[in-house]
Amino acid sequence: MNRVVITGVGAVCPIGTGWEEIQTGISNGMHGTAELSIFDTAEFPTRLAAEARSQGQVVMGPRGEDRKVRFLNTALAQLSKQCDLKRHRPADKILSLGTGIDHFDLPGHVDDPSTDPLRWRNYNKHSHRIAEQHAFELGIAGGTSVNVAACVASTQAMGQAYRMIRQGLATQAITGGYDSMLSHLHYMGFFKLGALSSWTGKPSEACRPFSRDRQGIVLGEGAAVFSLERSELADPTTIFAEVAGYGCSMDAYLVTDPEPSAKHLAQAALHALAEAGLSPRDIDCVHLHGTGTFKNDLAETAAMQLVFGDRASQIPVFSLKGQIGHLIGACGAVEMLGVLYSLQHNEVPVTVNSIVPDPDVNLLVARDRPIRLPIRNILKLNAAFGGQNTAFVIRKYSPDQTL
Amino acid sequence: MQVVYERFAAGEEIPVAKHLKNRKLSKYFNRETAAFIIACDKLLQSPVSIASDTPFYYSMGTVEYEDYGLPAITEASRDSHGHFSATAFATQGMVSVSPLTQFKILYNMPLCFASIEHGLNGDNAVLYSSVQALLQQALCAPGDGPVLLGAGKVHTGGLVECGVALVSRSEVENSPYRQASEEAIHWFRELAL
Repeated sequence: MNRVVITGVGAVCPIGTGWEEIQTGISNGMHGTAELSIFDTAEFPTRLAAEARSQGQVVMGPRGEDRKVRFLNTALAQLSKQCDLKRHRPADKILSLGTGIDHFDLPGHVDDPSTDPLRWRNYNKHSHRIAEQHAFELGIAGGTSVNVAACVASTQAMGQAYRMIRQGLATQAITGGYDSMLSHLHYMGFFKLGALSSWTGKPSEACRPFSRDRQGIVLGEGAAVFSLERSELADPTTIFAEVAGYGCSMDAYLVTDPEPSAKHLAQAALHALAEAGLSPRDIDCVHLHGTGTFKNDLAETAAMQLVFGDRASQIPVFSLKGQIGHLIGACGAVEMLGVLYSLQHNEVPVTVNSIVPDPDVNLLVARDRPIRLPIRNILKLNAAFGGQNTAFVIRKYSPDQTL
Repeated sequence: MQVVYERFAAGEEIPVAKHLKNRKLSKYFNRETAAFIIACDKLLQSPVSIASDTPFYYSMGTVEYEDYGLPAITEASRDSHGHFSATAFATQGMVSVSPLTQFKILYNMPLCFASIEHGLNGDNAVLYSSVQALLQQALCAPGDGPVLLGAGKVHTGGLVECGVALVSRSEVENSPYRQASEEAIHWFRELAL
């Protein structure tokens, strides 16, 4: 089996655009959630959102545009500047991205005077088309895959990219995720599901992972893309980290709730650990899904106990969602930036807005200040509405290490 | 390889309830999910028995059909001049839609409901991709046992096709469709011929 390394990053999210700006945002505990500003929400029952930003300003675009396409274009442009995407043969390169459901421009559709019952199709932008277009433009001929598994879409896409290289079916993958649910229908659809935060305090404090006063999720938007390469073909000076293991499972319980014992989430984690050749005691910190919902916090706590036993409350954990909200089809990919941050800085950042300890969530959360420690191996967990789970082991790259 | 391919005409009722252990779940299904549940039930009923950790991958087709109440939302979201009004949308447009509709919009529901119905807990993925991507997913699946592959497509007007297959790794490796760029349902359509 081949070793797989991360050799490039491009990203846009609610705390900044580009790896440098996002690192600063994580370090400073920047709050990316606020009142939604990109369209009129005066009469909406909730207005909380985490809009993508650049240099502190919300990224704006024309009315009705599919914002996730803009974010993917920006992230890929950053990656193209950073990486020589022509080093590998076209047939050895793949594109594997995660995203969300099709964009729908409701205002444009309502304002269209046509009476054609199929005119709605002019306002429905298919999520996978932009990936296929980029694959063509980047000269990728080894395969294009678009994953739409809700909140694990981007991590499943990254998992497939990792496997393709690991098993010798590709030498390079462009992978990650892009999504925006900040449009009329999608935003209100999530509200109708009862999933959105009902927080009435400061909007910047609305997403509260692991905090007893949690109120639900805050929708975010953005994109993160990575270059993965077979380690011996990569320029050593470009390596951010090694993808050492990946696991995936399905609760098969309820589509609305995580399975309370979290045995399948734990199973995904243990699979990733085994693939990395590590045991739970080798993990230095865990970056959790951490949505800021009661059921997710309890399920992840249960998974931590199943994987780490008595150590579960002693391993530092982190959720980036307090800062960036829930990016749904892009969440795991963007949160992978937090993983790289921890590896590079030997630091578990403060989980923003995790203020009130919950005795039922007995986890070591950095609340007041970051936790500094030598970090070699990180476990990253994500879970989806529907019951799908993913786990990654990401580690500092050392050429001498063996799998 | 064992394959089930199902097709229901536009407007044809999809009798999914009799294929469910919990019939109440059918209220969450769109046409694609209902048809896929039937296909899975036909494939996985006795004597076929598969391990609960069998990898399971599903690929949908490009969206051509909507049944989540868009005409009602559209009409209720106009102001007195007939133009879009965010206020009308928030106070009347979305009120006209049941929360259950959201389950019909999310793309991972066919795989998740089929997994619940058959107790499948293994590796999985939901794709918006080609035959090639679906087969690549199977090639990389953990373990060396068989893999479940599925696909669905709702065409303009509501005609729905879906397929599910239990395939071995060698069948995937030797498939002439490994480079096929058509929607994944194409593979099942061909297999059923």
